[in-house]
Amino acid sequence: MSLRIDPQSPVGSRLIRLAAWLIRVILATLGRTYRVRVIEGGQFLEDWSDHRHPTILSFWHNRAFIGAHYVYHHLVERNLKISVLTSQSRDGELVARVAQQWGLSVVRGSASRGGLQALRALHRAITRDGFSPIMIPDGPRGPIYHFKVGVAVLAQTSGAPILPMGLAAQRFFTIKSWDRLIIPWPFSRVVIGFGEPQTLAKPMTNDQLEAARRRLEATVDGLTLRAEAELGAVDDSRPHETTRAGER
Amino acid sequence: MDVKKSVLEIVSSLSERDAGQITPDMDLVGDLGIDSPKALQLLLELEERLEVEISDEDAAKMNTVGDILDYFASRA
Repeated sequence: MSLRIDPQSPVGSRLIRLAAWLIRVILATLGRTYRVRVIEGGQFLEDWSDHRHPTILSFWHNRAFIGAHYVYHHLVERNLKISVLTSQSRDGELVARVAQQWGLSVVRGSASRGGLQALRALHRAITRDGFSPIMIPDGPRGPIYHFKVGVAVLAQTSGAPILPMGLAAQRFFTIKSWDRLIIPWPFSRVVIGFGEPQTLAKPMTNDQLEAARRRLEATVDGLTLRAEAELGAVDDSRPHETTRAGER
Repeated sequence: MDVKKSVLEIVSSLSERDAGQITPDMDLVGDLGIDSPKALQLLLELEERLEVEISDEDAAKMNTVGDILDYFASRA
């Protein structure tokens, strides 16, 4: 899905603002119909909410709509200081506008464009300002279900734990994007699982960091698979067969 | 404090290349595989060990090992 407008132009800016408003309305309207249940790890969310220590929230890119719904309906009201990393693309501009309308802090950049600047901004947001960033570890362009090392490095260097999340919907359709973005149908059941927050030691060798990255990938994948299994809604088109076979 | 030694030690550790093999003309990304996450580690290590704060603008100019050495030389 790609927008063919220039967000910097006056017309493009208005269109983006309108699209962001529409998305916000759709999310709010659809979200009220979802029946959300946390099936595991709810205590980790409560612990974060109670202590408010900077935490990195991580879930797969194609769960971003469900994740955004959960953030909007269940986390914003807790007044947690949340920041969002969005790409510098036009699609990222749209996500940034929606996030800003919700009162979230936005950091622009990605591993492919402006990656270092974005990572430094996120590092400062965590260590200086106490923000908890939402990091989509296989974003912005995949490979799908591949936990990129940048998120692990951010956790390792900032000291903020990663709170892994798995999300699934019972009835949904998918967008024809690289990640097959999942949009739950109205009144769908939505299931969410949280994993134990993972703090990475300092310092780490490259091999240790890679091992941690693999563990995180398996954790987010396992939570996602268990959420899918709870609803009997396993997405058989998922290419991550090695991990999936291990979880079954 | 030997700045050059510190820089080479940090770059060596992150790139997993022997410090003796690292030359100023080496490109951090192309020759040493210092991608964005490793660049973040590099900058944080440099800032901590050499007690400086490197701006985003200065960091963006650091494309080679020599650029890092030049940055610290210009501050001396």
